[in-house]
Amino acid sequence: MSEIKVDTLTGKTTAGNITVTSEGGAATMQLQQTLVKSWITIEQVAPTVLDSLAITSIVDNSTGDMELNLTNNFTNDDYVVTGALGNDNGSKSTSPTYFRGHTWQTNAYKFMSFYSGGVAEWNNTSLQFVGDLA
Amino acid sequence: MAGKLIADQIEHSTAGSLDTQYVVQGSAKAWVNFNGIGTVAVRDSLNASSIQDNGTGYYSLNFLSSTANINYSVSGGTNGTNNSFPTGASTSGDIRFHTSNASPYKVQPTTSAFTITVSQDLNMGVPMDIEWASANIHGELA
Repeated sequence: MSEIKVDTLTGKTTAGNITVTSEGGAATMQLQQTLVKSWITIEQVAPTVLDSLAITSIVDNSTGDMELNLTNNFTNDDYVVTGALGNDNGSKSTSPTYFRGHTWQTNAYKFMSFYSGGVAEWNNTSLQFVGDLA
Repeated sequence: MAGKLIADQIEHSTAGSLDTQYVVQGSAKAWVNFNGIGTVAVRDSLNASSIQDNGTGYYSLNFLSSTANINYSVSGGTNGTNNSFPTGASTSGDIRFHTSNASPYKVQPTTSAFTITVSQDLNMGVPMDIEWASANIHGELA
């Protein structure tokens, strides 16, 4: 098995462009564009960051209204945010749960979380960010 | 000529090592941010050839490069209007995948496309167009 020991990967022709070949070999993609740029798991009830990547801080603005400050700026505010909301392990919810962003910038994202049509806080709220970094 | 490395593993001096299969298999294979109101418009994307408007709250995302199978993972989310604090949850968008706009009827994904249905959160059966919707795909490409 071959192994590369390195701290930084940088494109040779273009610093921000490293190409990877698909599993089946039929396609190539730019590695940087495929990577999740930030992710976070939050305890919203007693606001705590359980784990994260490239999130500088969180702000609990009001019930169910949270602000995430991103460590690295995106090139624009058209980045993709996906996520899921959950209870503590071992408990369950039978009503619709979802989040919705209401204010977003290249370096911050604010969202509301809901439960069955009303604002709610969740024990395990996970969000992921993909897009192009500056 | 661009440089090329063929390796099974990469190792950082302090952050640990990782088999390169996780880089390839763990990377997103497609993502899209689109405006679903009026004429559907893609704001930014990766490996998305087009978004098709199939009706109110009902869209198809077509891939540039096909997946190896139809068992890929799809996640998503919706935003409201930027800098507009929500006055209530009723205008939120509940986003679901592999369904028709007459959800919960299932629409089988293919290796080249899948469907997105957005409904009102307080009335799950009512589809709605939404200004900001996002989807993210993980799985294997052909």
